Amino acid sequence: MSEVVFEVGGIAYSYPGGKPVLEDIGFTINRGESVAVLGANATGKSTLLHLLDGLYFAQKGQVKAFATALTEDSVETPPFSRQFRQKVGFLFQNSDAQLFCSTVDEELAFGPLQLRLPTVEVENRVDDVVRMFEIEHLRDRSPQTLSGGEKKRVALASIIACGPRVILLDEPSAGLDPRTQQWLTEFLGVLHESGVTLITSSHDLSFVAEISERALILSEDHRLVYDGAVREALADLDLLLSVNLIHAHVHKHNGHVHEHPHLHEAGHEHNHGDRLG
Amino acid sequence: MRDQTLPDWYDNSTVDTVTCPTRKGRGAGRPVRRALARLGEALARELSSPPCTESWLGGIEPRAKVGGVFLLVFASTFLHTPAALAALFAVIIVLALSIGLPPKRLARVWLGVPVFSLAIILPAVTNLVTPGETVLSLWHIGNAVTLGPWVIPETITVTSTGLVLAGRFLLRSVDCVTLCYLLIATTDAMVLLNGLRRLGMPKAFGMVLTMAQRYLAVILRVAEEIHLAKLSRTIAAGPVRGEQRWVAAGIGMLFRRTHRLAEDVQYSMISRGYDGDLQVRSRSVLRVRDLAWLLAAISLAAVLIGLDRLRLGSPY
Repeated sequence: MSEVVFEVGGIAYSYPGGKPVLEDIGFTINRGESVAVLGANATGKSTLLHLLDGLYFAQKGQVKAFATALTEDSVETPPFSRQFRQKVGFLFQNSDAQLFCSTVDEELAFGPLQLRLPTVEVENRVDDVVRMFEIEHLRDRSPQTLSGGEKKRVALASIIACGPRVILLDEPSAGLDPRTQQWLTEFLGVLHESGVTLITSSHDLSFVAEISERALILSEDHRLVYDGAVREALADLDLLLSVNLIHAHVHKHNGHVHEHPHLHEAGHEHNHGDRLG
Repeated sequence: MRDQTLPDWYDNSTVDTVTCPTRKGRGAGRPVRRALARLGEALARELSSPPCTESWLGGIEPRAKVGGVFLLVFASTFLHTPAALAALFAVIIVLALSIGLPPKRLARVWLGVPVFSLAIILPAVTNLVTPGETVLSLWHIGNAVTLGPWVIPETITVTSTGLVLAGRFLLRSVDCVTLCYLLIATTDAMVLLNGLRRLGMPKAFGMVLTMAQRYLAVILRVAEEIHLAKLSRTIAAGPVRGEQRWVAAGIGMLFRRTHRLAEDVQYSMISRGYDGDLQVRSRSVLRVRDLAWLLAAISLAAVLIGLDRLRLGSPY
C-alpha cells in the first residue's frame, strides 16, 4: 500500500493585500512519486512548494504532511518540526538565497548541524556529498564566487546532506547550461530510483518529461486544471495552449504562412495544410 | 496577431558606427560612483576576509573567549587613570601582534574610533558641560545667559578637566573597540553568535544577528547589480545632485528587492532545520588553555583595577 506524503485539501492562498495566488487546490502525493507542478509564470507554482515545505500556511483548506497538518505550531514544535525538516528538502529557485555560509564546506554542514546530528555524522555526510557531487575542489571556496551551475550543484548537495526523502525543486533547470542540466536530470533520476519523492515546479516541458511521471497543471487563474500523467498532458496541445505553456506560432515555409501550437522544447512537425494564411 | 514591426526611430537609428573619444570625460557624478564601488569592495572584503582563526586566540573555546574579552571590556569601564587605560591598551597591542593581525586592519579600526568618540565628547571638553581651569578661550559672548537650570558662561572655553575627561573617554573607547575587534577577527561569525547564545543572549537577538550577518552579503550583491545595471545604460555621468538623487532612489529600490531575497534566505535556513538556535561546528568542552585564558583575563582585570586605585599618573 502506498504511503501518503502530502495531502492537500481545498487550499487557497494570497499574499497580503494582493490577488489570490492559489484557489481551491487539492491533490495527494504518495511516497516515491515524481510529480511536476506545471504552469505559466505567476500561476502560484513556487507558492505551492512553499506551502508544502511549511514555510507559508494556507488561508483556506489544509496541507497535511505525513498525516500531520502543517500549521505554524506544528512545524515549530519538536519532534515533528525536526523530523519534517529532515524528511523534506527544498531547492530554491534562487541559489544565491540558499547559499549564505562563508565556504562551501560550511554550507554543506549547515543543515546536518541544525538537525542536531552528532559531529562525526555531520563530517561523514559532508565528505560523502562532496564526493557524490564531485565538488572537492570547491570545498574551501566562498559560494558567492561560484558559477551558476556550481551554485546549483552545491545548493542541491547542501539539501542532500540532510538526507531528505522528499525533495521540492523550484525551477531547478532555470539558467543552467546544457551539461549541468543533463547532470541534474540524471541525478534526479538516481534519486527517484532510490525511492525519493520529487516534486518539481517548472515550465520547461522537456525537462519535466524526463524526470516526472505525473503532472499537476496550474492555470493562469491559479486553479488546478490537470492532475494526471505527464505524457498525456504533453500530448494535449489544447490544454497546454489554454494554460500558456505553449503558444500559437505563425511562420512561413516556401511562401505558405501558417499558424499552429508550438512546443519549443519537444519540437514539432509541420503540416502545411493547417490553417494556411 | 499583434503587429511587431519596429518603430521608425529605432529602424532609422544611425549608431552603426562609433567615433573615438576626443576628450577625457569629466563626469561630475563619477566620485559618487567610485565611492559606492569602494564601499562595496570594503564591505565585501570585511565579509569575506577570513578571520585569524588559526592563531592561538582563534583556538580558544568561543564561550571562554567571549567571556574573557567581555570581562576586560567590563574592567575598562572601572578604569579612570590614563596609566591604567594605557596599560590595557599596551596589552591589547601585544595580543594583536601575537595573533598576527595585520596592522592595516587595526589602523582602520583606530581611524574610525576617534572620529565618532570625539563627535560625542566634544561638548564635554568645554566649560558648557565641564567647568575647570581654562586652557583655550573659544568664543566671548559678552554676558552670561541663563536657560532654566543651565548657564551659558560669558566666554566659552576649553577646560583642562574637560580635556582629561575626553582623553579618558577616547582611550576607553579605543580599548573596548579594539578588544571587540580582536574577538571578531579571531572568531568565525557563526561560532561567535553561538558563543554569545550559550552565554545567555536571548534567542530573538541571536536570530536577528544571524540574519543580519547573512543579509549584508545579500544586500551587497543586489546593490552591485543595481549599480552595474545603471552603469550599463549611462552615456555620461550627470551632475552631483542628480547622482545623489539616484543614490537615494537606489536605496529605496534596494530595500524592495532585498526584502524578497532576505525572506528567501530566512526560508532556506528554516527549511534546513534552523529554529533560532544556531548550531555550529565547535567543541563544547573547556580545555586547559581555555581556562588559562580565562584566568589570565581575570588576573589582568584585577591588576589593572588595582593599578587604577593607586591613581598612578592621574591628575585627579
